[in-house]
Amino acid sequence: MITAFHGDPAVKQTLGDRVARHIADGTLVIGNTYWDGVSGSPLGVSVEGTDVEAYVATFGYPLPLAGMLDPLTAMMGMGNAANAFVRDWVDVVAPGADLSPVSAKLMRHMVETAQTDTRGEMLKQKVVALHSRDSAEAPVGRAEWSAVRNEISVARDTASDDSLLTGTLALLDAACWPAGRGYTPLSATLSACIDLVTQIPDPEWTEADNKRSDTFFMAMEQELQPRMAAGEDLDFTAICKEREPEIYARYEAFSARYLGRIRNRASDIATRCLTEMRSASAASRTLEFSDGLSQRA
Amino acid sequence: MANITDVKTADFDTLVLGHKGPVLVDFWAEWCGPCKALSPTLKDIAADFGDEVLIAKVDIVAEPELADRFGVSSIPALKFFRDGAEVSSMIGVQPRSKLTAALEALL
Repeated sequence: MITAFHGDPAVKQTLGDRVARHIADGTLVIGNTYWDGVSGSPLGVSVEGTDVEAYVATFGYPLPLAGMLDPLTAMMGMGNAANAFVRDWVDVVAPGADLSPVSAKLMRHMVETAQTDTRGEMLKQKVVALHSRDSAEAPVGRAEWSAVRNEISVARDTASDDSLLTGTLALLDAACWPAGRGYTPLSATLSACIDLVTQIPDPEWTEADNKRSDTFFMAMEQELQPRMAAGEDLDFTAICKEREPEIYARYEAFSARYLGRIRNRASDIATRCLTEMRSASAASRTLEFSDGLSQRA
Repeated sequence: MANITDVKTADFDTLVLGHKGPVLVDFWAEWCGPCKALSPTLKDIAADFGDEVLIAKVDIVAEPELADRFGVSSIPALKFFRDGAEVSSMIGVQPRSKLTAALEALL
């Protein structure tokens, strides 16, 4: 069994120091996995490379969880919340903790808390049930996962253009895999979760608003693009704001709500991730304590 | 970790066409972003199927003869073989569920 930091507090200290230094230096870049020798994504600065397997081997986090570090922080966006999460990702984990149960719990959380279409509810319960039963000791077989995925696939084929239903089914398709192993199950489900929140209709932004703003911005682009291409230094945003302040203000508010939904969903998943990692660390400490007692007895 | 076989022109016939059972061959190149995006999915599939399926990769820059031989003009190109015969193909990044369903149909 692989354990966090291989049970060595010095490994945790090294990682914590490295992450803190990059945050302080402004060389932690929230986004896709990358490392350029000086700056990088959370995973990039941690392993000073881009190899998720190196993260697993060096720091003892399970593969699905390690594969989620960069995508999850990217969804949180640049800023203090993402930086704090990257620090906490290390801080809350005790050396020697068995983090293997975290992936399945996080997967269940993502599926259970997704605002899914009622027509997808039965399939959602089937996916949750598979994750509840699946464990390292008694894994659910590939045929059972495939059978539920086939049901999801049939539902997708017959779904209308309803974006909420198709988003729900895409989420369930991404989640219908064993959560405890592999590179993609958590990161693909996270991506589908985020896509889904963007499909939920915004009652304050109507189809008429959409058409009006599209027409306006396209007209502005046609008007200003040739001048900008000719080298004129124009502030596109400021001109749009001045020309149609009401349309621009409504569009800006809509964009803020849209981005807010993404950030909120990512923050909720990040918070749950830290909770489960704390819980796994506490469970490992309890086990150590009871082992100590029995050894003394 | 997942087992994926790198195949060269010299050993393609033996490893892929001579293989009993399903084979998925990924034609890829280092410069191809979508190929890199597909890579973790292929590793997961290799782990899911274990010995039941051979997952192979062909670097089209290093092995242009194989790309020509199989008419690869766009990558990632995924070709499915069973008992030495090509049975189907897909182009572009594919979801894990679609690749899994295609392989299960060949078992």
